[in-house]
Amino acid sequence: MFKRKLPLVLTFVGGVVMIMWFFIPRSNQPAQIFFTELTTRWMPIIGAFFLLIGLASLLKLHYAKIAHQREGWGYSVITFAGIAFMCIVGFGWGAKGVPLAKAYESVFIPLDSTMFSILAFYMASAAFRAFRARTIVATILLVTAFIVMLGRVSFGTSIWDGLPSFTEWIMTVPNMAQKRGILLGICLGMLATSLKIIFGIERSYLGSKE
Amino acid sequence: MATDIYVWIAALLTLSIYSFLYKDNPLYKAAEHLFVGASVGYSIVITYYQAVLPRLINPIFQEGDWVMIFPTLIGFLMVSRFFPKYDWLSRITIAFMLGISTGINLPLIIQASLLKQLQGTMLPMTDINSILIVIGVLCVMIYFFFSSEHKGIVNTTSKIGILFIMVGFGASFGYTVMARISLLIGRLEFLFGDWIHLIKY
Amino acid sequence: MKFWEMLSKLDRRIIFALVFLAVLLPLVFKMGLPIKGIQPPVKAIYDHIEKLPEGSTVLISITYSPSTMPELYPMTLAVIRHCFRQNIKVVCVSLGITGVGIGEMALQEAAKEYNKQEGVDYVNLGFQTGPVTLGMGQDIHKTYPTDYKGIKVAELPVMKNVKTYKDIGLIVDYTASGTGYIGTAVTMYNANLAVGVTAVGAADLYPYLQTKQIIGLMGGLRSAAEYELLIEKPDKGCIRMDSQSIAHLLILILIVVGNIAYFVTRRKRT
Repeated sequence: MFKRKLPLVLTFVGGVVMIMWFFIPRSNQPAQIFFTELTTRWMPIIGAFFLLIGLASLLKLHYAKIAHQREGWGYSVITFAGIAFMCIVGFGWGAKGVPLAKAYESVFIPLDSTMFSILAFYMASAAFRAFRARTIVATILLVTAFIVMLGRVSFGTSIWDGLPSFTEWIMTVPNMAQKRGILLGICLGMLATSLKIIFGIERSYLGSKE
Repeated sequence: MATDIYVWIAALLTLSIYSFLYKDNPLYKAAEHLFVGASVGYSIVITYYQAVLPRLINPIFQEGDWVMIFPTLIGFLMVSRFFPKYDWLSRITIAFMLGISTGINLPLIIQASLLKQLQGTMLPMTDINSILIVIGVLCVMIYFFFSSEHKGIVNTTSKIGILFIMVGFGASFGYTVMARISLLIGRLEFLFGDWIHLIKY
Repeated sequence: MKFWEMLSKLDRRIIFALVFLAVLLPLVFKMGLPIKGIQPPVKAIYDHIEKLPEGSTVLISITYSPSTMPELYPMTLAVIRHCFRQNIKVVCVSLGITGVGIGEMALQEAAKEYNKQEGVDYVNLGFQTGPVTLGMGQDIHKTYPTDYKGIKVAELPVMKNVKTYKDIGLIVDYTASGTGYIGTAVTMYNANLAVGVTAVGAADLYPYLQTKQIIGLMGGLRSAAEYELLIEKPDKGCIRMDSQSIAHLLILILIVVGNIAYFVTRRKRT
């Protein structure tokens, strides 16, 4: 009972107090001090624990894989080696040390950026295989993509001088209207969910156990 | 060809990832796991030096700011997630952060996104662009309105809505192509410039 | 007919090879294709910084990881260079842990060129946990007690008169998708915000541009190239546009050929 009620009460009180704070004039000093303390000192500390718990969960997962020698456990050893390496250069020479900067530049940057650059190949392949003008609406999509792709590169102006301006018009008028329509829908959804959380209707964050 | 050992390490890691283009292989998997490890390790170091040390350890132990023990305790309750018998304690921390964040965000969503965006749509219908924006926003919203059957006027407007949606998606696709190609350019520039010096600046 | 059937079943690795060549060859054999016209949202950022008085401060926010560096780094560097050229101070923060090193690289590179001093003309405050975009509106010194290198922010000359968003002439948020500053810095503290975003996220930010919640927008590599031209310092953004153009052309050809192959083979089947 207490295990579920207390978090619900905390969520409600926290939510209502913060909504009220929004309407308190900025000239009210105690309210400002309270909010500054909360956002600049309390929440970052608690946030750091969230981050550390996330990291610890990942370590636990890979440790279990190694301990039980599950399929691909050797790769988990590599993950641990990566963590250990970064920690050694980071804590050994400090955050401002050259070794951490070098490790960042020569290990982290190439791995991270190459991982995402692979998408260029698959996107080209998908454009060739799946981007078909089967219906009128699909054709509109295709034609718009065509114009935008041409309008943002050098060839665009060779074909038609007005193409960049026309592309800008697509972005600022029909595209903007579409994005706004969806954005308004998302906002209404977020508002409904926020209210459900504050009033304890949405309580999936409590988990299923008592 | 580069003589710098760091450039060689970066180049070999880059090639390991690209080996996936041929087919999935152990070299790619090893690089992928190294990436996860390196990113976690880097996060640990930065979080310690930038958050834990100046916010937690220094204020409490050097400056004697004992008030900071309270948020520390609230945060520390999250550790209970690793002990099934006591994991309900972590709900207190989650509830505290969730309640406050939701309370802060709720009026901001209304003001920053909802009201401002509605205001931006209330345009004087004096030129074609304003008319198109108003029609577009309304029709797109009606397209996603599923509380009544799409018949009659609702059907017509939602059909106009789908046209705007396709233009928007087309624009997003065009831009996505642009983005993905840019990322590839960056890597090839490194491999053929910094590593094997084929690209000259 | 057989040709089109064969084409529709083309091995994906051939397409990969074509993409590879379309990107690589323009980098090796520079073509210097012209970049004509500046997008108004890019020009708006340039104009805003031009109008800022000497000694004012621009906040550069790195909200991206190295994965999107080829797109966002050139525009990050271009704006920092512009600020240094105008003798504007730069305060850099990173909303994600993995972006801390990127901010450092960009600042060091530009500082060397314009002979700027760390701690006096610029600072990298690095990463912090918690709601930093809100916290900075209340007190930047409390939100970031130390800079990236562990020096107390209160001791830095560059931060002496920079306490909240009120002391900042412009925030430029470089992000892989959306920006967290609209709801907080702009709405609550009336800050001026410009956004540099990957092309993937650019289309989604146009509604905020129309309502003037953001004063300018740089979307993708093309915008970076335009900014480099505006500050008359063409660099990686401009160089990469050749490859970008040829690769776009290839993708367009692939779409056209793919469609022809599809319709020809479909007619045959029916």
